[in-house]
Amino acid sequence: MDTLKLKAQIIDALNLEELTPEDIKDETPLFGPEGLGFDSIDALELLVLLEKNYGIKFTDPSKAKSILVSVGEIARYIEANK
Amino acid sequence: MCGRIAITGAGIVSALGTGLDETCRSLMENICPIAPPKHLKTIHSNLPCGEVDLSDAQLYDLCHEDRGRVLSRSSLLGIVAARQAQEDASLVPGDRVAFINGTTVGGMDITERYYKQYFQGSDYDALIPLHLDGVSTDAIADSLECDVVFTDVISTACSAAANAIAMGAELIESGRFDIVIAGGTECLSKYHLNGFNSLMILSQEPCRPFDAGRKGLNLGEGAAYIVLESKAHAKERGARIRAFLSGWGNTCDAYHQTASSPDGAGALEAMLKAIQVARLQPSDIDYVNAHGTGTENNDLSEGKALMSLFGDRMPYVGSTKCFTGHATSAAAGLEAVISILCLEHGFVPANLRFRTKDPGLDFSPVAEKKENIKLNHVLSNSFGFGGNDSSLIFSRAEL
Amino acid sequence: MKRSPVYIKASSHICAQEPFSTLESFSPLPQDGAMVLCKDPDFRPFIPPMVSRRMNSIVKRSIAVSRHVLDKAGIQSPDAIISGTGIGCVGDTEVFLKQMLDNGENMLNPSRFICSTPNTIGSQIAIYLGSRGFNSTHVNDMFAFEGALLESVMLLQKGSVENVLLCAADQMTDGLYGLLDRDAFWKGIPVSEGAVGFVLSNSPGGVAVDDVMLTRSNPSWEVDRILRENSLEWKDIDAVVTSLLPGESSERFAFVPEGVQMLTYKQYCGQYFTASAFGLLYCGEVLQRRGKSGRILLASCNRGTYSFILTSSVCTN
Repeated sequence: MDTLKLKAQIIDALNLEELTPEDIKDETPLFGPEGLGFDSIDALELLVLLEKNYGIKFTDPSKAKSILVSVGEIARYIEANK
Repeated sequence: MCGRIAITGAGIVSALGTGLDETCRSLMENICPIAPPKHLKTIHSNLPCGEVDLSDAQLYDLCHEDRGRVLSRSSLLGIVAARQAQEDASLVPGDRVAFINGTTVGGMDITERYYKQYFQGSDYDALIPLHLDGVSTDAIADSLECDVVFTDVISTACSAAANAIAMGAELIESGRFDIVIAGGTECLSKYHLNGFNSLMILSQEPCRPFDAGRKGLNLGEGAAYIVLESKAHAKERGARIRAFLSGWGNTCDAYHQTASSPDGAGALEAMLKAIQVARLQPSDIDYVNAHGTGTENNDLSEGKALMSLFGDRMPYVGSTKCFTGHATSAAAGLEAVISILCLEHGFVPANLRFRTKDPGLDFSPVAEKKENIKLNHVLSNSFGFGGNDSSLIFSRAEL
Repeated sequence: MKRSPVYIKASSHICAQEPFSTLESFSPLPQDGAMVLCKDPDFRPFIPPMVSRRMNSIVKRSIAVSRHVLDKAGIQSPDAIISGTGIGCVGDTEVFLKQMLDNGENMLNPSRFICSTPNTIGSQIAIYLGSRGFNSTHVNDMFAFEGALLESVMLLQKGSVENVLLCAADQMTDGLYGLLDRDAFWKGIPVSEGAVGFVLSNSPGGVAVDDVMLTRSNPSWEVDRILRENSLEWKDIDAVVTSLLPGESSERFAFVPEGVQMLTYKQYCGQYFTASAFGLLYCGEVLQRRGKSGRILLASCNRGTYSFILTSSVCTN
């Protein structure tokens, strides 16, 4: 899938003013100091984004942990669960 | 310090019932009122709550309030509990009193019901100010017979009532007031039920604080106030002393907007401060009425802080949120009154539904209630979002 | 009982005036009843973008004003952070509420909820500063600032802390303005917003706060008590600064004897819940410029409740 669109949606949802979709690599970690530095609230916002835009719903946030790793990982999950 | 600030009255309304007797009986008989919401209109009927089983109409009747006068449910609950506290302390017209309220939701139940209408005409204009925490607090103050000459409202999320009680203690210690009514009120609203739901920390079953299999918290509602008085003033007017407020501590975890630090640094610091103010040692604490919400994060973090503080001399630890749900800004008020009941009646309520010890913790909470025991000092924890951590220490009247 | 004063070591503001400006450059706001918003500084020197991404304007202003006032006072991190806000983060509250009412109780943004609680201001200041000390938030309507100030004063007088960062902030939105405008109290006046910060200390030096109290009872009794306990008479008061709006009748402050100078400050900051914090800043600015010792009583009134803050300066020249 087109990850640029997903990246733009993430930038918008998390209000990452200083970033452009091109700045985010598909495999950049979303969390942690080596990555984009997202936190637990960002993770919840990403779940809302996935439900709103892609109809993917997680009831147990811990299950989403393995998907919310990088934009690439999220994109693969969206593809697989279309 | 022990024996300086007397508690001469208490009032409570929660899912456990109305008044001290009903609350005490429900705790002793292990009655768990957590159930799907009945009075709150929400689509989330799968989320059990500690709801006060009284409709707004029943609350108006209980308060003898005119139904033509619109009051938020927080105010109604607050009026019920504050009047009980006033009566319990035998306060009368002419008594100069400060009222310190902990609340966050305030009049949100009214706002969410009429918000759209507010922009469509002027019929509901009079309701708009009811949103304010200050206005819903004043409605409670106005319903009292004693002379409430001073009000303040504290909102530190889930520790608000604890900080209201601490502010009350400072007003007395500094000699500004002889009598303070302090505590908190919070009604269930769609707004904060949905808010907590958006954080994905609400359990779809009754909560299991400190259990390895815990799935989150249940929201609750209620109001509870205690009457604080200098010991000298209480003695002078011959007031019955139920217990003493011996210590209070407030810190900020300064870690994250919602999460507690993994080692519970803020929680530990708050407990240490309270123990220091009370001039006690950790070994003097007989029972910890824990914040114990039932979320993965809180119970582990609070548990770690308790382990750091008490080491291998862990006192009884339990959360009464398994009875009341988490009444957010009122929680510390409810738990203050419950702590006082425990001191007076010599018991520790069961930490209901506890089955399996958390592998990250080396202690278990009180799975079954303890009766006929002597408690001298109870420590009550209340932690709010943003790391607003507070601890209170209540001590037996006759030490 | 005469209590030891606490001292204002520094004050700062972001409001409808130029950010961080002082008395000389204050100019009256237009009196046409329109909403006047804050003049915001560039927040980037204060808060990195990644940190500010979830911050609403009230939190950004509070953090910037906190950092600014702490730097002025030469303090890295305060012993206590005490905040006052009348209605808190109303912008985020409105968004979450509208989402819930318009779209039903699903797919709501958690950030909006978590940023809508009033204590998000004080706790985000604490997270920003790494300040693990005392932290509390007062939300008593038009007297939220007075509650926060009183708690600050009590902690300092008792010696529990040596300094306090006191921050009072409120935000105005189109939605809130549309509702407030219905209330006579807010009608036809410059409704505004602002964030004001103070560093208070119990070590002498600077403008003193000698007394602060709020009363729902008879205001003249309370003023009499303040004067008596501070061993003062009305002739010792150089001015009373009131919460009156430009052109408003001073009837509600009829207990002030004739001949005492009456001043106002809301022509500069407009009307908002914690405007009295700007009032205290104004008193400090006026006292500092007198060139001689002076004493000002700040008096506010709303819905029958009054607050009084007694301030003074000792000239050392």
